[in-house]
Amino acid sequence: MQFDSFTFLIFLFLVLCLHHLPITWQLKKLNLLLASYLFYAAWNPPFILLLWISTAIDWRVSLQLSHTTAKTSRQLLLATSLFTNLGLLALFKYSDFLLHNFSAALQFVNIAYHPAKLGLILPLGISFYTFQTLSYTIDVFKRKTKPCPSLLDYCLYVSFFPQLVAGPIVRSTDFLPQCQKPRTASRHEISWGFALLILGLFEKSVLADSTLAPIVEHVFDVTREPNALEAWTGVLAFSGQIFCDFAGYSTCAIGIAMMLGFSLPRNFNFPYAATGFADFWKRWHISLSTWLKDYLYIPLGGNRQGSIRTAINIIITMLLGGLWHGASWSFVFWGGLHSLYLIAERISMPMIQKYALAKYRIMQLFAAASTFLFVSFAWCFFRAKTFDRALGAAASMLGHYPKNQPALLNSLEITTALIVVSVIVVIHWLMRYRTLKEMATQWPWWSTALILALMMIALVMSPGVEDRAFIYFQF
Amino acid sequence: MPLFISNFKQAAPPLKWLQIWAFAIALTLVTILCAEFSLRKLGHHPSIVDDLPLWAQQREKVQHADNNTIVLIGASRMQTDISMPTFHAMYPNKKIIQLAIDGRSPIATLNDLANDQNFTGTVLCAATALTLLPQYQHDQQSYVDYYHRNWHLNHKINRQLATFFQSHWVIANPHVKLASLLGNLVLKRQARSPSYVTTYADRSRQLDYQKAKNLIEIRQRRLEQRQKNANFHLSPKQWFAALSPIVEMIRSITNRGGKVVLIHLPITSNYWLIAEKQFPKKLYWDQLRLAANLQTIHFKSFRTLSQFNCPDTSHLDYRDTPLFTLKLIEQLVALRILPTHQH
Repeated sequence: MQFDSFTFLIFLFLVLCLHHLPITWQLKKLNLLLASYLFYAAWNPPFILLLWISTAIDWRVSLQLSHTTAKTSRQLLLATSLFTNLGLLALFKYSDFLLHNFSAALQFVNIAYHPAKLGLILPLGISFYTFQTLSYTIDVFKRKTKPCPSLLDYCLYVSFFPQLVAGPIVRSTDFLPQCQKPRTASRHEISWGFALLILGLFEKSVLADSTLAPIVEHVFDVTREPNALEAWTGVLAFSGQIFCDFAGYSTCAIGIAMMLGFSLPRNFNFPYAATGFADFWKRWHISLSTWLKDYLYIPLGGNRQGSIRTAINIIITMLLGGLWHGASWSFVFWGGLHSLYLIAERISMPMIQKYALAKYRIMQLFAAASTFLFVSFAWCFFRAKTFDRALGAAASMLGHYPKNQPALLNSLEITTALIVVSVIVVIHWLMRYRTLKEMATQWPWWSTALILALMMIALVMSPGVEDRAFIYFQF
Repeated sequence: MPLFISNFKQAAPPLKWLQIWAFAIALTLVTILCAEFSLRKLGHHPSIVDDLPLWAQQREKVQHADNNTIVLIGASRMQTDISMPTFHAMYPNKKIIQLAIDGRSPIATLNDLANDQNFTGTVLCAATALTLLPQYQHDQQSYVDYYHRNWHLNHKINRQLATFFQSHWVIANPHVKLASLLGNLVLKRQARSPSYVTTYADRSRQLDYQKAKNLIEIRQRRLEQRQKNANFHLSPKQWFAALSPIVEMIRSITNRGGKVVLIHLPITSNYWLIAEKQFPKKLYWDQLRLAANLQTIHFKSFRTLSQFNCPDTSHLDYRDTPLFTLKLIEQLVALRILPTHQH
């Protein structure tokens, strides 16, 4: 069920009521686990089996790892976990993509092979919970953490409903210790958690769905190419939409977890204030970028084996990071673009440091603006339905588009998109070294109340026309 | 540092929460009530959001259908031109299910019903020579897929709650969403006019053209939209050959006792001229009856159906729909698609 639905509000109310009853901590965790399974099954009941399979395999593997010292046996156990989890992910997410490309490759050598599409439904959140359980198993393998002694705690770690389907991807070292002792949310945490839930829903429903999504669709979901202004407006609108949608979900998840007494890691840190691409990836989808860094980039060698090997490691990491988002060459290309950005930044960094350019405020602003524009350009490949459409939109952004076409956007839509995105970027810039908590502490109470009221009013008065799932649900 | 050894647990700021929530909730309630009252005074009305779950809710009723079920499929004309109260009054013992989807060819839904071996009801399919072509066969597929893959208890409950809210509150009508209200006030310096479109929980739709302030613009847009597809051409032979999958779908339903009738609902003025120039009725539509022996009703073939005016060239005003529905029922009875009415 989605956070912005009536059924979820009722579900959350019931879960909170049960969680704050005077029952034992074990019962509370069991209540949360059952609620999490119900939450996941509400989307599509049979797929709860996949979650259980993943949980059971990794629980068993991790226990065995703790009893096994032989190197080969330990590697086999890890391989079992990787094979099962990545195999399920590959089957449900990438099978049609792999078949299609295999067929295309065979056609290249004049072998006709046209397999039927498997057409498997993509289980909700599979990319997220797969990475989450893998991080646990890998950490146990590397002896960074001991296996969790409690099956209940481990199941809750894998399935905790606030972050189950769209992150943040939580490390076991962050979550499992929170399960050991009873945790109760104070009235400040319940209130702040609820405020974060409202903020997240406002970002998702009002900004992403109601305001920006229709503008994006007018540019990307039509058959003809936009002109340059429309292409840039569409891409900038999507920059705003994807941030508000995804960060909105993470904010909701953090707020809901807080109301239950749990802490989830921050997943976004005002990314559009980034003054460089490395900085951007420290601020955008932090849980995924740190996962890729810790479990892919560093094991590949990171930046410890010379500049050429570093570049290769960056490319591999970002290409696979792009592929994680979706079974399409567009996502791979998007990841590839970001790898080029990162490599170019690394190459130019010595010059920037040599002339101490970064210390000048104007240079910081220039860096932030450039980063935002390059990141936005790359979003074009993320959003377009096909690679050809993405290329078309990118060409339009660079000034190559068919002339004398009827307008795709009217002036109100262009103005709205540019104003909303500008406000988002300005807020990110002003908040880049601060947190919401710090700001809320400094404001007078009535301004916090006014902001909350305005968001709630906007939420009630911004009904959706279409059933828009969170963008990252498709990953 | 891992969260559990940081002071992350202390992340909530210690604010004056009682005052904050009291003020925020009070202000929210007062504003919403004032907005609701003001919008009603301006003539705005509740309207149901016609989304995927609403369609699936109606589609589910087909699962329990029997011979007394009539399913309406097609695009916006089927939603607007048929008066459901009139239909229900004429056939109180029949279940009438609205599965038409605005702006989309009904082929995918027809196919879905054809593949449903339990379905033996009656299908009234609004279509045109253009919308029956294969290039539009996937138009409604996303709705069909949603029903078969995603329509679960959670969505059913949510849709019921949403329908209750949307049927009683004007502020739940997307026509008066905040962005639109503010946009009107800022750019046009006036309040947003009430919408001339109302959608009901059974997915029927009512158009009140007396409320349409910019009828000339609406007509112009309709014609421009239709003109975009006007250059596409097929010979009558090619067209009929392309429709063979449609004929198979219809046969699939009729062979197991169901009934299907293809209906061309009224279009007027230049809209009719464009359509008739592209696919002349005598050479195209009439083949469905003459060559394929399908049951069809074309509004132009009956004076009682062609006498109606479409203010926007493509849809009837709601004031005309009861009489139109009665006249259409007369023709359906004449074709023995429907029994003599029960009322």
